[in-house]
Amino acid sequence: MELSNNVAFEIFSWLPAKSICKLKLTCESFSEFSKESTFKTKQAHNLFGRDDTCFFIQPEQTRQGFEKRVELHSLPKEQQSSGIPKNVLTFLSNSACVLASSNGLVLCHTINNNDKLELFVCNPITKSWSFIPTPESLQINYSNFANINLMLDCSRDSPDDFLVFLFENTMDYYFSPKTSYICKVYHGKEGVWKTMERRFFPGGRNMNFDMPVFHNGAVHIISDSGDYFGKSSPFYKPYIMSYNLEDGTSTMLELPREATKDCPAVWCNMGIFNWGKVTSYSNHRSICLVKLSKSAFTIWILKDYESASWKKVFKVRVKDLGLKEEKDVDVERVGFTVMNGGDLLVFSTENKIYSCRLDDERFKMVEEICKHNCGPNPRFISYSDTLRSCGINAQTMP
Amino acid sequence: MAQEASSSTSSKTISLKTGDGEIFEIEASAAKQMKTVQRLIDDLGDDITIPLHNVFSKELPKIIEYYKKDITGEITKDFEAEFVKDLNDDEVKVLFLAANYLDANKLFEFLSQNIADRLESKSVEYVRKYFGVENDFTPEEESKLREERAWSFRGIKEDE
Repeated sequence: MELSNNVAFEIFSWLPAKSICKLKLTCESFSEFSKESTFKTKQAHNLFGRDDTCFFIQPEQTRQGFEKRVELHSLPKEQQSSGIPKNVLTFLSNSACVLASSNGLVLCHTINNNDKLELFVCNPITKSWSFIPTPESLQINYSNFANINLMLDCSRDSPDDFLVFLFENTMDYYFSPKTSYICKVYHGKEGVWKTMERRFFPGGRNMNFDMPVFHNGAVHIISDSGDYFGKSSPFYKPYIMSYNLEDGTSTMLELPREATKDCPAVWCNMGIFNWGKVTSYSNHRSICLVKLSKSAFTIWILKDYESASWKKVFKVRVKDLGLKEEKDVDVERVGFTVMNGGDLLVFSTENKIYSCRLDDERFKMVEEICKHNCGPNPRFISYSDTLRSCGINAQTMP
Repeated sequence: MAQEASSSTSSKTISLKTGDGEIFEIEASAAKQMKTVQRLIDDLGDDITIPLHNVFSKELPKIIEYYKKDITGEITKDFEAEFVKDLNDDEVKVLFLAANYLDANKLFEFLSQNIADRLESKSVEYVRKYFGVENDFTPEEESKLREERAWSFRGIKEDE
């Protein structure tokens, strides 16, 4: 039974980009329609909010200056239908640092040896990229990669648009305390940076800008947990500070008491991630907190935003994970992330990356995904391959 | 089969006749979700049995089952998974074409996604057969394309 072209158009628009690239070989007309921008927009739209199928992994920020490396790995079971062309990955690995990814677009900055720091958004599958004018503050700071606080957000409804958020430190790095950040937003469609009226006040602590959580119209950042406040200070314990993207208000969100009872501490590894998904059946999104202590991973989810009440949902001791490692896992060198709204905890030891399913408290399925060479505490950025357009100024990558 | 005409529209049922002559009943509110059916009702009136030449008795009950759940708001992930679980690729294609003919949007989208999931890791040859298309590339064009897209062929399993 024959299926007509527009039927194929519809079906293909639900496929991940890698499969579409492969199936372009089916016949001439399929190859043609998959180049049309209406098709690409539809595909990006259909895949929006679906699970990410792979993740980038890079050395931690402070090492990125001298260790140029970007790896991309697929989640278990997704190897066939996800990924990017090898030459694109090599190109990114040699010349860029991946900052964020959303709906198939990847935000990067260049790490060439010449002076200029450049920002761009690219789609590795369509091999197109679009440069973003570098704000002045970043041009000065280029040698200190640790200060680049950028985030990417793509919305479902405006397929040509994307937003890049930059939080600029207003004080010189060497003066303390860092009291406020100017938030600048770049609108992909218009091609300009706009400054938010109200600044972000993160309280007294240093903030961990590389795992922002977009939720409830605000971006949430978790603080560090160093021991530099007295007990009477409101910032004694680590916390989350949210910045409302509409009106610019900064609000503190308390962390679960159980998580912070041993803080402040010399070493404490906590991260926040999106929890829950938006599907056609339900809309339950929240934030989760993952804490890696000396011996265990513990996860709490935020049950009620207004009252900051958390619920512990998961705990596993590192030694119970059954990892096949040559030597004991050095917990201080482990990096982790939560993918797909809480389906998986993905974490790395010195050389390997593992995933652990979070949907069943009793039966913790741990799988080894692959080996890696990104050193201790690598950065994870999850990714799914779409054909989303980079908007105006899109050009082909070399 | 006599049709009950009741005064309240919510319990009104419509009679549908398949291409192979069988008659099925659906609620009027379910019929609304299938734009082709609704158009025929608007043209022919809702007291007559609506003829659906391109839909057959194998598919129609399944479609009716889907929309019965839809109007009561009971479509869940588990229901949809169950719905397609025992269908092979050809059966789901037939169902999909029926949904297309009936202009039944929600089912059409769901089945498109399901077919895409099934085709994701299949070979190019399988997809050609599935869509009933010929390979109209010249050998040079084809080998060039394969080379460019070599990365997308990594990790393909054999056709089942």
